[in-house]
Amino acid sequence: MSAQPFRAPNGGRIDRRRPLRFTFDGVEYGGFHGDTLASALVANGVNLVGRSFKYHRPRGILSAGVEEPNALVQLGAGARTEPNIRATQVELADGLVAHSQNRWPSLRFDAGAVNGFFSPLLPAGFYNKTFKWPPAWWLGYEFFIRRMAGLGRAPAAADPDSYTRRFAHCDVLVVGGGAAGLAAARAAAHGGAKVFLLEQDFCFGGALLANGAEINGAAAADWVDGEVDFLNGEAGVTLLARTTAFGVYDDNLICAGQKLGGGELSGADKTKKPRQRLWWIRARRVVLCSGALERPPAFPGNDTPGVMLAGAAVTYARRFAALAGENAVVFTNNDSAYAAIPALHEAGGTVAMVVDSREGGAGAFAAALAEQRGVTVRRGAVVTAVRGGRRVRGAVVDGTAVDCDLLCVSGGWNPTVHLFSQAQGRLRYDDGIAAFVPAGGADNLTVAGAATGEFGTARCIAAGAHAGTAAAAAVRGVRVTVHDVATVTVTGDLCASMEPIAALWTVDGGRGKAFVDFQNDVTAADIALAHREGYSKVEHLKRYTTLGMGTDQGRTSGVTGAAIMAGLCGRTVGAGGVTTFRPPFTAVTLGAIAGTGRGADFMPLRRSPLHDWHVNNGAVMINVDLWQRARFYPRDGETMMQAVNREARHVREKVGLVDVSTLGKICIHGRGAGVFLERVYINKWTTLRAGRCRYGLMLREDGFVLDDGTTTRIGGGEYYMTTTTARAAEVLAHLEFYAQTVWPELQVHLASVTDQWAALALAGPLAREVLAAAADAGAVDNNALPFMGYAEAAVDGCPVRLFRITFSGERAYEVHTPAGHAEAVWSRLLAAGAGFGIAPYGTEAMNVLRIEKGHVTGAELDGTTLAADLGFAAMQKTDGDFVGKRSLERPAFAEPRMELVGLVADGKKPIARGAQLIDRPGRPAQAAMAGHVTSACYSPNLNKEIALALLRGGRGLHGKKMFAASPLSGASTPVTVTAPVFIDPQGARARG
Amino acid sequence: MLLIKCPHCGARAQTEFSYGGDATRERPAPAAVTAEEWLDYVYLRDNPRGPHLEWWHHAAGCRRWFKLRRDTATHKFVP
Amino acid sequence: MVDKRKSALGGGAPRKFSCAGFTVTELRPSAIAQLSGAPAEDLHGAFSIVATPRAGGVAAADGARFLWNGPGMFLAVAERAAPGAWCEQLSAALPEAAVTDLSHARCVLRLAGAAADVLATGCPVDCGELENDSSFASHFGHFNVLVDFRRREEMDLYAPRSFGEALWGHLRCLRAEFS
Repeated sequence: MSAQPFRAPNGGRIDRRRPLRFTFDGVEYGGFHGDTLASALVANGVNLVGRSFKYHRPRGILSAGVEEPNALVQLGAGARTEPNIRATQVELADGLVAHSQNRWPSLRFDAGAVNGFFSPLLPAGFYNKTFKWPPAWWLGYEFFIRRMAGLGRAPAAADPDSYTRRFAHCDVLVVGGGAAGLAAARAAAHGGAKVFLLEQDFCFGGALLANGAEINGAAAADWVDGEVDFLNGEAGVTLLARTTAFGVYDDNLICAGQKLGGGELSGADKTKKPRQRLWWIRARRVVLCSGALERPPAFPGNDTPGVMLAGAAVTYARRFAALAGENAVVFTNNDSAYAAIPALHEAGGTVAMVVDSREGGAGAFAAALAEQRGVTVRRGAVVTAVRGGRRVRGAVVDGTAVDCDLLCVSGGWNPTVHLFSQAQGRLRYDDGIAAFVPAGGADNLTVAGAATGEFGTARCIAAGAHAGTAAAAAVRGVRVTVHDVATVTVTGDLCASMEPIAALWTVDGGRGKAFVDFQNDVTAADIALAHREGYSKVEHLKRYTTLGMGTDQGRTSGVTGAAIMAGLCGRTVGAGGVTTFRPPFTAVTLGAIAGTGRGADFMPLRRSPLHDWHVNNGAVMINVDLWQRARFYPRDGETMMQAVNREARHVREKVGLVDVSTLGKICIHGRGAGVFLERVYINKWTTLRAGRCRYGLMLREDGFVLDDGTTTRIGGGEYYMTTTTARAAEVLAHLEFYAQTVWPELQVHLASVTDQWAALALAGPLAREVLAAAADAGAVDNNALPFMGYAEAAVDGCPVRLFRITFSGERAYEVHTPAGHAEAVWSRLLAAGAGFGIAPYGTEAMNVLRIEKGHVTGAELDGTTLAADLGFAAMQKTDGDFVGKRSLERPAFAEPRMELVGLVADGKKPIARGAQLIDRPGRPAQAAMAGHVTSACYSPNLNKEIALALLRGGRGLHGKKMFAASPLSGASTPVTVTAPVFIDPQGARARG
Repeated sequence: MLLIKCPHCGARAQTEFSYGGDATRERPAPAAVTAEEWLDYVYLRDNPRGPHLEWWHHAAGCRRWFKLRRDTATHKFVP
Repeated sequence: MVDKRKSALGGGAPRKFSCAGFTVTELRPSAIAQLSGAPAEDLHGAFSIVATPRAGGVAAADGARFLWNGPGMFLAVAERAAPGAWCEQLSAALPEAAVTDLSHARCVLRLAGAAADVLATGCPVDCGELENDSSFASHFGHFNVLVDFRRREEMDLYAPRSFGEALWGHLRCLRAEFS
């Protein structure tokens, strides 16, 4: 076991009693519980962690948090591997495996570094100008571009882990568990609010975890522990660590991603518990305490491994007892970086020099720190270059080289305003801190702490307390009078007295690449190029140079880039603004978004009450919309065609039984029910007597057919409507709209009874005999139950509703029974029909039978057909209003229209559904389309291939020879146009 | 995800509702209007930036249709 | 008359499963009917319910529960009465109301234990402030449900019968999270 050469012997919030092993690029290292992957790498002296996107430059760890642009690793292996994970946010676990990305063959010797030599050809925006000519080489370019593009690799296998989601509601949601957030949560809870506190890190505390100050006499980090303990004991407070609020949506709906199971998995998860949870939190008030992120200045060589944000070096030293370098130079334009001096010293390092770009140098507290430790401070100076390739060896300060292995840089701090902006908050540029700060405009969402641009621990705690109190009071609807929150005493806080800073975006007078966006390799020169090319608005700058478009979303580069561009354009930074912030704040896995919605749960399917019978009796099932239906019942090794042909023939020769329980069914009550039906259907309904059914066609208000079905007057004020399976929900909503908002005076009540009733269709020449044998009592002869009649009976003691209607065109009865009786009734019918040779049939055969009869379904009711097109013009009543009637007077509807016709193939070739109808074969793609095929099948009862089609002027073209052609395959079938009915055109088989 | 106040059920998440469009248009008696006025009702809708009176259907809840005024620019429901 | 009918989840004994966090039990109420156009005051008078049912509330009478479902709308659930008899009794008591038999149309599952948390994995309704014996209709993931919220630790989900098997399977998948 190798020692951790850069681990300070004492200190840090790591648990030295719990050592961990992990592997990076195949080499095993040691760390401790409480480390991140990045801090453990720092402690092990691993400073080369990746290669940049475009130029493949060697890169080290820049930060200690969410803003990290360089240290992106591939975590894990196999099906669980995850690309592009920030090492700074990986909670170290025993056995963790990580690899660097975007390098071949190795991190130290990467072939891609050759791109650096070609960099003059690869400036920003080169994508716009290259790989265009010649077009024949496009696919070749694509091959190489795909291999070069991207950083990590997505797993190739299915995700073996599960994910979950949770809806929650609270009074006050506090985002960020640092100084301000902890204070806000305590104050809001004190004010009686139900509080959620979200923290993306696995520890609460934020910047306090690395702050050398004392709060109420205790170390800052210990104060954090005390606050967390207190909040954990409060009943109305929910603390969620490892939970990142990534999006603010309407009405304060905040989405947050939570890592479960103690952080990143290092191997197989044995417990099968969900790996991540997506929270949907509706908060009455939100207090945003998201802190601020440090930004580096742009100067030549600023991307060399060993150049690190000063705050990060402090965090590694104090929170993780990891020394980022033995001898550091600090380059800054503000006081906060001076904290590196005591922090690095305590961890066993030294600071050779502070390079302060300000002529006046630091404030009193910071200057004293340097003096106490004997650190040289150069005022009004800048670093113009960095010595070293894979590691910093020195910094060039105004021409003089200074040896160091760590260059701590700070160009200032950007308040983290992403969620505030998502909530429509406005920003303004604050010259005092040279950063954008919130400036109002977000409803029910306030910002407190460093996220407002106010630094200093005591100020942040006070601001958080005030915001939490105000939020809780707002929820209760009371005004805030006094907030009796205990004040805290803070000593030794560097940030308490930060002087205004002078903005330092870039360093003039240096040679070499000065990086602004580390992840996408965008330099200050690229920004100048964009300006020269006219892309000077920040949104154009972003897209032309790709600045801010990496996985870090420009957290260390966005404001800097905007400011540099503002300078080039001669406008103020505030006037130029920044690019729009969009969710998610950090990446969310697709697994978390999908939640349980995978596999069977992706789209739950509905079952008919006869489902088990179908499955147990050999039915081949098919999914139709949301339903599982029996498609056909193969016997003795039949193919589908053989089974379907047998079933369809059998119905016309003897008798068959099919499950149509999926039909939509609606119960209609009310005094005005008959009038209501008359107004929603095209035909007359007030004349329908009790005990009778009628076929109905329903239009949309624009005149096109919405749906068809059969409605029966049950009696006692009740009507029973059926709809097509596919349109059941749509029809119910359509009827509810008219009943509730257009004709409420009719006082019609609608109830969906689709699930209440099972429906079976008994069809064939022997159907009446079977029904008579199956029914318990009562006559079912032609007088008792004539065509389109309705009767109530019982089968095996189960109540049934009998409807003498037919879809197949044979003598048929629909037998409806409450769903729990379905199997009993179905079985009794099969038993009673055994002597008559009854056989069940499925949806395929049902479709063949209805095509043979020219009965329309959703294939013909596609939303572009009128009742007249389908041959139902005579059904339309002339007097009285109905939905869609007035629209039928449109002049356009008088022009020649697509009319329903039948087609018979002239040979053995099947007619393809969707085929175009054309006059001549040969070049179907260029022929005039006269119509198209809506439904097609082989008819075993006619021994022909048949189809239904919509053909312009079709009713006058019976007998015409045409071709049903598919432009895609070039095939065409010769057909003859016929009337849209192939069997029993008089309909005699169904009657009598 | 909007929070929508159903007049019967109270404030509920948007996922419980379906949207019905412009509610300022009332279905005229077909016999009482010209063809243009009828087709105007069927097809034409304004698309204002700002307050918009809309139909909402509480499809997963009480299944009542009701009207609310919503600002199309800010998504906020206004009285 | 012997009740031979099959339940939403098939024949045999009512299904049940449990894990550390919650249990799910299939319920089989004897009769269910949808009432429409039934003013709450009429219910109060007809069925000796203690108080006028409030919007969003459940009114309990002897052997029956009335789950508010919308203005003037209730799902009337009877523990013992047969469907036909229940609908007749309702029609007689509330002649102005529309009565629709839904005795076969629902799969009813009782969620007990960490019921509110389980429901919160898929339902956006805020149960935190709900009174005991409330009812609300919403969706639980992809499933439309009417919830008889007896209390935080016990609630009955009424889902369309055809979704019953899928809902059962979905709840079983949540065991991993709540073990």
